[in-house]
Amino acid sequence: MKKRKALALALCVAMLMTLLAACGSSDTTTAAPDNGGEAAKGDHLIVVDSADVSNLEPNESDEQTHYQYTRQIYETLFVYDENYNIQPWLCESYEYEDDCTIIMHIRKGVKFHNGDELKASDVLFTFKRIVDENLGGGRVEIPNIDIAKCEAVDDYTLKFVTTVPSATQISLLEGPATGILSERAYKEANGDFLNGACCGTGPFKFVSYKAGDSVELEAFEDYWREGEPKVKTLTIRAIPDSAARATEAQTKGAHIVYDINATDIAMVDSTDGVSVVQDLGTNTSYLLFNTAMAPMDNPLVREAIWYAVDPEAAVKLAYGDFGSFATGWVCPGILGYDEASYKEHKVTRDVEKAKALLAEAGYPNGLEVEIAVQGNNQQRIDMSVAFQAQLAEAGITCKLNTMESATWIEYILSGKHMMTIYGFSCADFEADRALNQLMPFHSNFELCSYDNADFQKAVSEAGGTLDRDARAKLYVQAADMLMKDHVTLPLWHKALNAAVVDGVEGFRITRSYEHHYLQYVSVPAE
Amino acid sequence: MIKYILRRLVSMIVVLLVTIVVISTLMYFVPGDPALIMLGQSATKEAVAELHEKYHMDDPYLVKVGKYIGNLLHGDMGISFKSKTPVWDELMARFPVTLRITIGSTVIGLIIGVVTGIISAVKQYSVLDRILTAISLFGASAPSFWIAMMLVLLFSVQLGWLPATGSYSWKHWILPLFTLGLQCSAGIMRMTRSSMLEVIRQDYVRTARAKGQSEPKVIVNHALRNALIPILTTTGIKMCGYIGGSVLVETVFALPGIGKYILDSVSYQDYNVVQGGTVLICICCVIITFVVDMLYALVDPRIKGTYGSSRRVKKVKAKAAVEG
Repeated sequence: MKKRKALALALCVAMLMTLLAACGSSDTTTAAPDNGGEAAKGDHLIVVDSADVSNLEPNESDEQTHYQYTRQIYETLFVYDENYNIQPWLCESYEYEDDCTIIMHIRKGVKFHNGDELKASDVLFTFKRIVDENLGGGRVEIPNIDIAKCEAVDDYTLKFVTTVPSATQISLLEGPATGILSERAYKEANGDFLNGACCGTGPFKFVSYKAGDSVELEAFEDYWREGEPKVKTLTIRAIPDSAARATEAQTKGAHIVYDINATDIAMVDSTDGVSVVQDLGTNTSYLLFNTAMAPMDNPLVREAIWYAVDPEAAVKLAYGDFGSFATGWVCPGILGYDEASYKEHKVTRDVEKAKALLAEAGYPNGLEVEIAVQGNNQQRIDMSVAFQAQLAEAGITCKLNTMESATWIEYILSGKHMMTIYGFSCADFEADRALNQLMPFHSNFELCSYDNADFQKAVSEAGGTLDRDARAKLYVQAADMLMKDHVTLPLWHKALNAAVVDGVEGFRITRSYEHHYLQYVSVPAE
Repeated sequence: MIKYILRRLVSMIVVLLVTIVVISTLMYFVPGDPALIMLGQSATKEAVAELHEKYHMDDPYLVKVGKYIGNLLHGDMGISFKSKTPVWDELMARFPVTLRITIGSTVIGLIIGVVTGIISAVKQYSVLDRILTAISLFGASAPSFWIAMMLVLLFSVQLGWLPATGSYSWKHWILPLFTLGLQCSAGIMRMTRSSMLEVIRQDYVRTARAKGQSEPKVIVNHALRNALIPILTTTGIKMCGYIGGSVLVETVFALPGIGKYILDSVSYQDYNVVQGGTVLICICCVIITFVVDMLYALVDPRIKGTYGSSRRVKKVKAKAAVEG
């Protein structure tokens, strides 16, 4: 019996020790993944993104989160510098042969990850593939390309032809969805991007992908820019849940954590050794009015709602100090931004005036309206709740129709809504990207169903106007019409942020497509 | 025993087929257009139409369901709209994580639950019994995501002992497995206690004691074995729940399991993944139920005996009817 007791005691001690060992503090930061242990030596960068990449195809996706991965592997012909001026990258220089023809000189000595040299034929192949396979993300960056007339004049010269003069074509070629891929690698791998086709000229090359979890990359030793990237390996992890991302930032489990929720910023920023960096993006959120749906087809009703709501208060409630209350139809820094014009159309809340307008519109006793709300976006829900309360004071009963994200998208894109809150990005730093979404040929047209010939003429004309100032005027003119007719009420200029561990250097927010350049980033040596 | 297994297998296949038809039907009527999500803000109407054609999104109901079942029989669950890779590959890449969560947390739950359940039953109405019962009640009623967050706050944020997210080493698994394991143990503990209390005063237990067997032997060999059936049932149900239902824990700990993947695919309207994932979960649940059924027979030979004799009885009745 004594032996048994001794055995039981020994087992208990063993279990306790195992438990203590399991919970014991390790020599490095235990919060970091084991494959990130090297981070202490300053050669392994760990970044957390808000979405899984699914595959590493560069030209199809339209999602900014996808670009966070592909931008490190594939490069574009042009990039923006720190001041958001377009700069040559894989294209060393270019000149216009005529309004529709650009002669591009491809940089010499640039190598793909498989050792091949970048040739004009690879660039042409990439564009041809985008057009032939109708790859959505890339297609929008080369909307007017005349692929039949494009040609690789020689190994380092590409003739790029558009069907009509395309004013924004060069800046569109900064879009990560035009990342150049190796023709040979693509064909040899039969287009399998997880088994060979993932071959660009970028600072990092693909090593492995763990579904739903992370992508491992390593520095490309033959990268054409001397001294870059600054780290030997890069892990990009996907943590879709914003609370989990905030926790990961607090525990310093990664060097950089993207996209901290507005409500978590203060908490993360107050953590020792972590700071949150922010910059304005290119996306503006609007309260959109569907002019094809009664009673929003009545301009007086729309105007009454403009007077009845206080967008500034709603934005403050939802986002606090994150981002900025709209000061223009597009964000500052975007071609087409005009604060003066915006102020001219902006109204100060006036409930009595709203009631008078409603009476004039034939609704003296108020009316019922609906806002279609994106269910997984807490900030948009908060703003809608604020609008609901504000509209009630003007005698407008507002129903919030909160839907699951996919249902909401289908609902609003098929024009079943009266109002909704939606954002337009201007990743090419021009208002055309946002304005085009309200054109009849676009799948987003029914967001507002704004059928105004003058508006459509201005937007179309802007697309073909090579003179920058003239183009800007046309953008402002088009945006003016949207506000004058009370179709889109600008609410909030989106900000981008990331939690960065102290000692990480060279990281900066990239406004354009919200993809951040990681080749300049170095991590602390501990 | 073979007949018992065969009968279980047949019912398993029928359940699977019916479930697949129901899932396919439900998915057909789910609102939403995946093409709009896939193409994003930049989509033109022509591009949306092309995508519809490419993925046969506008096929009529019977064609769609028929095609799906036909393809499924060939092991083809379709292509993920988002990743453009086979759904089966996507699911299998995530399945090991789900399996590890399911098995790990069930084992933890079983160890804690059965041991505490036995103690509670043997020491009925003692202070220890009351404390353990209270803890199990708390465990059963506390939501798993809350337990998860509390554990993360304590062990990751405050103490910095364990990683908060990921699945890169055994340390990463401690918090998620204990989160679900503790919750699982609460149910198993309650079931073990009540089941043990039922058998502990049976005559055969008293007889075993009277024969001079040691108390641990009496408890384990005579009482626990006869109390195992409800415990097995509870464990099977818990495991089925974890296969597809550990979404919250997967979310909090950023674990790439199939539950979270299916949920994300709903937002993306990646219906092939939702459909394939649901079918996979269903297959797993059917298999778990089958294994539990087998264990019933193993633990309690009377079950297969009953089954066998009832068949014999039917045969005898039939023979008598013919002769009559």
